[in-house]
Amino acid sequence: MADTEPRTADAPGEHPEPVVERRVPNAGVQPGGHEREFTVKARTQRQMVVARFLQHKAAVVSLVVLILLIVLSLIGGRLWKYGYAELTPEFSEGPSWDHPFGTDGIGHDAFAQVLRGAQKSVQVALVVALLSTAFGTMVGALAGFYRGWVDAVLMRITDLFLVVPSIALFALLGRRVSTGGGTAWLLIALIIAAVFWMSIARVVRGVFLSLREKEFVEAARALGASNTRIITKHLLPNAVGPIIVNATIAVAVAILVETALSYLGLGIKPPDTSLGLLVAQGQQAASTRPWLFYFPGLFIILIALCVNFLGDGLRDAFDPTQQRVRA
Amino acid sequence: MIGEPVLSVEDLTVDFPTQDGSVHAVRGVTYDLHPGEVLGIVGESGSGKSVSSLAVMGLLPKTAKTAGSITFKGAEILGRKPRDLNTIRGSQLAMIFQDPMTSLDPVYTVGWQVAEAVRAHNDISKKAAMDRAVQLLELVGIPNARDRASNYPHEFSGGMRQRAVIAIAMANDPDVIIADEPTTALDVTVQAQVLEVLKKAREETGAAMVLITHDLGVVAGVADKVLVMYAGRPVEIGTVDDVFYRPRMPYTVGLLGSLPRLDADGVNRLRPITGAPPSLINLPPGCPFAPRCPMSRERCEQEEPELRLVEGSDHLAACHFAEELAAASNEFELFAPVSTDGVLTEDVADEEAVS
Repeated sequence: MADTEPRTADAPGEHPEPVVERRVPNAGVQPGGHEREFTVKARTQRQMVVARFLQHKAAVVSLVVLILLIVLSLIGGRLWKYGYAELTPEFSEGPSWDHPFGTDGIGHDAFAQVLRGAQKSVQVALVVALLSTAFGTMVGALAGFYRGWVDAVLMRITDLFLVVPSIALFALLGRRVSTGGGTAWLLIALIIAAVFWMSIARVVRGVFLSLREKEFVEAARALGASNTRIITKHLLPNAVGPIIVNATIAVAVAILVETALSYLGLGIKPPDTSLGLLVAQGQQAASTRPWLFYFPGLFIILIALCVNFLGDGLRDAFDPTQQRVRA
Repeated sequence: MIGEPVLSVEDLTVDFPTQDGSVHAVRGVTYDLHPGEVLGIVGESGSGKSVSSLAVMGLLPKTAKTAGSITFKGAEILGRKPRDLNTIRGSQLAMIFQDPMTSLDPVYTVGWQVAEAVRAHNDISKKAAMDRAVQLLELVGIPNARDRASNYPHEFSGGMRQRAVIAIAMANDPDVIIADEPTTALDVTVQAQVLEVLKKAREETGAAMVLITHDLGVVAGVADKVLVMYAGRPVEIGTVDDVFYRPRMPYTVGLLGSLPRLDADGVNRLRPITGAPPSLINLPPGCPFAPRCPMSRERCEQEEPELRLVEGSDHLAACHFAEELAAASNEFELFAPVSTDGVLTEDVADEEAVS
């Protein structure tokens, strides 16, 4: 009570003038006559793409998680006290401080194995995504832009690859993988990329077919732009949405296909390991020693999910019309 | 005008082969464009205005068959390879497209695109190109050009986009600007502003201009010379005043008569051209306008009139009876006015055919 009294007495003096002052209407225009409506700073193309990407929270989180995962699998694997092929005296133990992900029946440390597997799986997935996207985009772009006989030849080749039964191809080429040594994973990546580029090629071709008829392409031509410039500077950036979506799908598919191959015994062979192989080996033990099955499975889901969000964010970042709010 | 024409089109023909036969889109267009001059090309949709200009830019689809000659600064450019044309296109010969909504690349900022046009034909740094781009945007009347340069096309209004397109066309001080219906996609108030910007662009670059439009008002306001096209052929060509005040081809008379006039007293009904233009695949012999022409006689059905100098005027027209039109007391009463019966459907359709 004693508190309120001096306050009410003080009130008129507390905010005397500024409220009225701020309502003066010429706040927008300076007396000099210079317009000050737009006070946003001009930014470069790259700055805006980065700004839009940073707005996509899920994508930023995914990027951080993915980078952490990759760093962990690359460096963590070396620093961890057990090697992935090392046998420890503890058999079939559940998760503990000593073995965070437990051990398998012959004493492998599951944590070391999951890290090694994640490293291999990510390697395979990234190479597949890179190769199949680059190659598929190139084929699709040329076919869609030039049409005519170029289109006919490239698309028939694409069709030819589509009808090759991939499992048979894996079975045939996969046998050589076991003798491939340290580069075995690269061979697997090449095989998966070889059966996956067609869908990207077809999507990009379709996008290019519609984009090449747009008036801005004609305008670019009227400005003296060459075909190469039109393809690389105008058509590809406009097609980046579908391309990125396909690339992220490729990453997810590559991990899953590699998993399937390892499961069938056609992929990466022990003592080396991959997430797919770990899941396959742990599958029989899913009910009795669940840690062997769930931890690598969790990693697969985590990686695929991160890559998908990342792709989503990238697509939005490269599409200026996606976000109405100025990033 | 005296001196060498900067762009000279002679007997240009363009055919498009289709399954139903060859479409004769342009049949013998001839004109000279002198430095600093503005030529208006008018005609209804499908009369070959745009196709003849695309031929000049070398932007026709590969299937198109062209003949005749297009000389730019004395050098033949018709049928040249795109690679050779790229040194001329954009730098000396620029084009403004009809639809500003789609003629800018949606994934680049407006400033980047203007800078690209500058860099395409000048060896300057990115920063200098961007400064020049901002300068150009200011010139075409974009407020706060430096800030707006980092906006994307979708953040611009239609009129502003067309200004940006004009800035791109101006980027390299071209000698000829071809504007293909630059105001068609814009509303009337913005049209006037864009025409003003076009005028500024010409003053700034000293370029000659080919202005393709179906808006006779635009031609009257901007052009020095006018070329009227019908069914792929030029049917009348001359100075704007001469053609507008003394039309010597019934089609031009019809075009002018189908516009409302502010300077006429009393009630004046519009005088539309009835019917529709002929198919360009199987053109019957004779004057293509004959079926719609109130003056047509037997001769018109058999013999296509040549473009010729009409006696008693200073311009060319393609009509057998141009002199007769000159003798008429008021050539603008040639076409019958809209009937007062209130039957609008047919007339409305014709109005649309004109625009």
